Amino acid sequence: MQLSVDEILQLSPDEASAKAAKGLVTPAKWPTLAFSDTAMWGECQGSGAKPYQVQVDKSGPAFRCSCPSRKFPCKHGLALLLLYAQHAPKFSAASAPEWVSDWLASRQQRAEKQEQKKNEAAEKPAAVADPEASAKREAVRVQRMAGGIDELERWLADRVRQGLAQLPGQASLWREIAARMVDAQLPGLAFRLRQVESLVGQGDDWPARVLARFGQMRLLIDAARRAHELPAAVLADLHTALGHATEKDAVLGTGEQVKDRWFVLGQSTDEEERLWVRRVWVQGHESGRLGLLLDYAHGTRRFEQAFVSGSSFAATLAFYPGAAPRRALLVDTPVLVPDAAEGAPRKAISFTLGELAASVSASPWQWPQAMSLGQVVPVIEGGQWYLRTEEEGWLRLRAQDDDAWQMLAESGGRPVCVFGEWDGACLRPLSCWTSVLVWTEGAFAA
Amino acid sequence: MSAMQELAAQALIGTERRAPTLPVAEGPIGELLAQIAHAEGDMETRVLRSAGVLAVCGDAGFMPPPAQAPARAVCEMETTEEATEEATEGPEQKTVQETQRMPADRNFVSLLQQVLKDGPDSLRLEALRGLAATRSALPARLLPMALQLARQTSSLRADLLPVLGARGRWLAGLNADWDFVATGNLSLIDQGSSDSWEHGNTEQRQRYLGLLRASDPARARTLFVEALPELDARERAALLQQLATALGAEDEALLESLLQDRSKEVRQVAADLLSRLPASRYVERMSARMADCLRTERKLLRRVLTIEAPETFPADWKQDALEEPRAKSEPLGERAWWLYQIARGLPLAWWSTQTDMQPAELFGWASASDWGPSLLRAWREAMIREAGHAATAGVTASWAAAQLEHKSVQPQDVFDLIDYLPLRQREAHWLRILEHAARSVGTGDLFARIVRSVNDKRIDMDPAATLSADFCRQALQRARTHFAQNNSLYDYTLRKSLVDFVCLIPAGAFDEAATPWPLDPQSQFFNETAARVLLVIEQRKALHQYLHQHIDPRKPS
Repeated sequence: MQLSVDEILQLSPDEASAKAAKGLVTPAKWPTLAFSDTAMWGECQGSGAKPYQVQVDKSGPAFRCSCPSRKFPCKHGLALLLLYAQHAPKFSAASAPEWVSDWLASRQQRAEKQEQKKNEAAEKPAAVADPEASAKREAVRVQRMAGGIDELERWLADRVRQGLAQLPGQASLWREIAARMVDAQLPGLAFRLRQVESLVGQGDDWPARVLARFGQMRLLIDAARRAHELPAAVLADLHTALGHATEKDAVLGTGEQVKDRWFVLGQSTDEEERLWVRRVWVQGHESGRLGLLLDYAHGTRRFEQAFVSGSSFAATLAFYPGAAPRRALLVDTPVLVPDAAEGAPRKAISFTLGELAASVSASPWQWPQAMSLGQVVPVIEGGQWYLRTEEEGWLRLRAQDDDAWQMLAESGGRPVCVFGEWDGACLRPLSCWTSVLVWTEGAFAA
Repeated sequence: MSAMQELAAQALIGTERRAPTLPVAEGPIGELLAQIAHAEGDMETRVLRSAGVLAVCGDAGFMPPPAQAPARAVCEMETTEEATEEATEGPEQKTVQETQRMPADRNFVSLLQQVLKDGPDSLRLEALRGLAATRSALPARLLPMALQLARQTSSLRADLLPVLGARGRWLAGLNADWDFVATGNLSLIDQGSSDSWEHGNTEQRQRYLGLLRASDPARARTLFVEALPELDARERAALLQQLATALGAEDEALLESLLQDRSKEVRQVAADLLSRLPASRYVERMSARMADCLRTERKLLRRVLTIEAPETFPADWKQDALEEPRAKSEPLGERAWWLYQIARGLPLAWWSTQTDMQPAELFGWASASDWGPSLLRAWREAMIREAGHAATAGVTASWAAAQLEHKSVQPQDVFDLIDYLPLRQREAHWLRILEHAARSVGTGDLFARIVRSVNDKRIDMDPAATLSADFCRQALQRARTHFAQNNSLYDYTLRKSLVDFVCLIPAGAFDEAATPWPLDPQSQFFNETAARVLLVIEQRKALHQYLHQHIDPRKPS
């Protein structure tokens, strides 16, 4: 598919790469430029003697370049795509040289191998390496976790006993307990503690919000103590909340599989200390199921599979176990489905709130929740952004000013559809539709 | 206060200080809370568990709070291009044609986005003006960026306002940063109502007077005269300067009276303004004085005109704002100073009629005379004064051309003089400088000067004039040779000015500019510039293509 200049620039990992790529869009710098059915490639003259070999696989798109840059895609890959978009006549149709066909073949091989591996994992039961050693490891782990739970219980009780008023300005307190949770192999609890820390002292009603979070953690402790009594789905949710997600292979092997055409509702990317997290929300056309694809990347913002909000792809998803299953894995390679314009969520607010209630009651520790709103109007009041619902209610928005003005301009004061992530107090908008997708979070539009 | 907030207020203090009351409620939640309250365990656990129950139930049963402000007005519906085609058959045809169309072509919108984002400013202006010419409005997604841009760059504002459309104006009304849109739209006189005259500061009064003068000169003069007694010297001079707009013979009386003003500054301004009225008595008096200084002598069978500075300074000259003493830093001698003052009050055309010499001869004649410096300086000032006016532009142009040919011109004056000529003549001079004087004037600086000259509409009387394709081809050829030389590495100005220049070339020279630039593969210096130049050419080509596809159907083709 032919990408427009904006879409190409959206693939860039940061503003500096986009700028550098634009500077390379000079045919004079590229001694070789060619394309075939599946890929395009070229050689770019850099500052060294030998030119860099750059290639792009059109399905995807996937990039490869021989330059030493650690960014992905690098400026050469972006520039090649831009050249193709803006100076297409400069490319000559040719058969792929060795260095291109080798890469394409290896990509093909890798995809096939992955499929094979997934199929094998589905058929074979997981073999236990050494039952005694692993049982010992397991016992140690359980002991550590129990110790961590006990410690958190005491910590929470101390906070309530001494009073929440003591909390502001005690950074070391939080650091210590979070570190202890990590030591006790309860990273999910450490994450929650860090979240609560950021709420202390913010706004007039911070004590209520902090106490609410403490309350939820107390419920988690209670659930952890009764883990042996819990039904399997709730137990799975509990483990996720504590920070132990099920193994990928297990999910691929035994998780619920749903084959459908999936509509990409929206995606969010966050970074915390060089760890990038991307959440892609999808909805099945036929099944109506909501899915969450979660990916991590270390150091650079590079994910294996790219998704375009508002597009649809056909694939099989395997869901992680849980009471209200959301998180899922791709079983096979997604195939883009063209002209899937329908699918933008158009729900009444009462329906949305009902869905939220159902989701929270089934899985109270899921964070964040997804929210699709059908008829809302973006509003700015007193420097703060809101969505006005059709029943004259207000939902607070968490968005960058530049982004929000963009959304407001597109809506023109008229109702629009918005999809976003709900954290209990604010909605983080990710996509916005009028009759077509007109806005996504963080597009380098402004 | 909600149950959670009440519980939190108690938790704030701490259970060790005061035993809290646990929350109660109706229905199943109340039963659960009661269960917790009566269970075993310490108070802290019970508080936390109650808080947890309230939190989860609160999250599940979340309802958006009622809106705190009333709904705002919605912006008008505009049409996209597809809608226009459908609606031309209906009875609403008239209203549809009134509203502006938003371009719907994805690639065109993408191009506009790139242009607005990256610039340069000349290209942005071209895009905005092109849109206005086809009666289109900016697509919604570009509005915030465009408004931000116009906020930072005030020179773009005038061209942005026509293409904002109803949606843009609506959006601008919601953000205090963009209120220049609202004020820009008001008729100029409404904007400066008589309030700003009555109560404004000097700047506002100046602006108001200037605007009023453009539409109603007589009234402006009357206002000025009424206010005269209360103004101090600086204000009088500043406001008097505003009368330069639409200056006419009716102003003569006022100006004559102001020649006797207490303040030297005011007298100078009045004299300057009178000099612009060739039929005024002031100019007559000056002509008489100058005529006194001119003599025809017989020299070797020829009649030669000579000029002699006045020997004395009669007392009545003071009435005409002529100063007897010189300033300390004044390089001219005393008599030369007097001559200069008389000369500068005369219109340039006077010299040709009086002496029967063309400007070229006049320059030669002045250089030969002892009093040359006075004359040259006076003529320079007269040129500046007369350059901006349509009536005298032709005269100024011929004088400027003459001086450029003559040896007496100072290097720093060259560009200013070139600016007074019509565009084609300017091009000829610029090419000459590009060819020969590239060492004394940097190529980058030269291009920058060309760009400034073409963009300054005040100088060129014909706003539709554009550079000729021939000139651009030759100029770009020079730029290419310059690129290839080593010393061009240090020409930092060229990087920006070349891109600006490429924004001004006509469509005929696009191909010349688009052929690849000679780049040294080892050096990085001009890569970005060359890439940028090519990109700008491509963008201009695409812009022209799109805009020509959508010529306003109401205009005759």
